[in-house]
Amino acid sequence: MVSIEEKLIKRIKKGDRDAFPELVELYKDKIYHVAYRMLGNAQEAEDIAQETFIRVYANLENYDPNYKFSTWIYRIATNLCIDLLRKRKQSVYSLDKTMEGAEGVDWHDRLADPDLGPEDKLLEGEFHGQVQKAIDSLSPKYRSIMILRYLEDLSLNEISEALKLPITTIKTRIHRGREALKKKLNF
Amino acid sequence: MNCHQANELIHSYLDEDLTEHEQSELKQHLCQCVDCRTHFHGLRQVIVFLQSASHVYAPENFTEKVMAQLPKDTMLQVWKKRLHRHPLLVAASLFILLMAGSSYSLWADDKQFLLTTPGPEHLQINSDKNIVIVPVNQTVAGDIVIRNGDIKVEGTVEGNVVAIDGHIYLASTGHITGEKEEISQAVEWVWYNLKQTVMNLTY
Ligand SMILES: [Zn+2]
Repeated sequence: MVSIEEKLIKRIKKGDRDAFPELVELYKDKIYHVAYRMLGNAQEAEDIAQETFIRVYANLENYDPNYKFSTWIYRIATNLCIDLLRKRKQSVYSLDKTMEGAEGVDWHDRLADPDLGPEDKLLEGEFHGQVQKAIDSLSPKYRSIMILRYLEDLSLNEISEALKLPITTIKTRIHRGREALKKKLNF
Repeated sequence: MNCHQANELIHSYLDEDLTEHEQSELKQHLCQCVDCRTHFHGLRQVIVFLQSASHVYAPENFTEKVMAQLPKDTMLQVWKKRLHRHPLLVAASLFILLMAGSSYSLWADDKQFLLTTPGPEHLQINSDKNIVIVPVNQTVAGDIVIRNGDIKVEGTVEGNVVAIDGHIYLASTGHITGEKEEISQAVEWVWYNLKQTVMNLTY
């Protein structure tokens, strides 16, 4: 059976202008949600989600239809998030360097708590805020897997396909992720 | 079974990865061992906790923003796509383009601001800046064609909007029931005219 995604991709490749926005509509909430959970910030999540679809459009020729479209797009999104998290870490580091000794101000705390956008404020204080805090405590490689497994409900096989990692690695990381969160949350 | 082995099985159980035999072995251990039982419940709680996360939805106009950022097709791609969709039309228009240089010169000479609309009284026209606005709450019944200028649609156009060598800005309040097309090349102008002619002939 041909999936909706496959039909849309055929139409896009044929030059049907209406097909790509349909594909975006189909995946925008999923991709935005993953980016939001990975980054914990609405503005960055929107930028990364936008960039994900632009890359999908630009690389559609390279998409291998033997794999599920969903795993391909999740891979693009998580890779972009991980890149950004890495850059963010580097910039915090370089700020630390330049601000060293700045009258005892704890820059680390300031940087770790950027201004919240309107949406973040809305969600703050919800039970959700606790979930995000717990997710943020994980390193990116565990974070992506826990999000895909428990927030996006992907199977272990799908995660293995999306992240191009052997299933044994996925299992090990899920085990460690669960243990780390249990400790963090005092469950 | 020791507690370390039991913990391995607990994780496999949570991944739905246990044989029936292993399950009953694990069950047995959990019945006897309070520590492992507590640990098991804790891990289950982690999962339920994560799954309780409220879903976050993409912000408004997300798709429009993506579409606005996509690279505009090159002329070659445009022609390829059209050739795919309207092979006869493209062949015919290319033929005309090659045969008659006159359409091109007509295009090249013609740089003045031009507006065709069935309802000019509904429009705000700023001829200094070459911009036409369809104001909020105004409805224009019919097609609008503008050349060498921009059009901003804040109200409704019940028809097509075409900007030749100009841009169409659709405000969040705006609505165009028909097609919305920006034409910026002489070749496209020929194509567009040809399409109109053929459409007039066929409908
Ligand atoms: Zn035990």
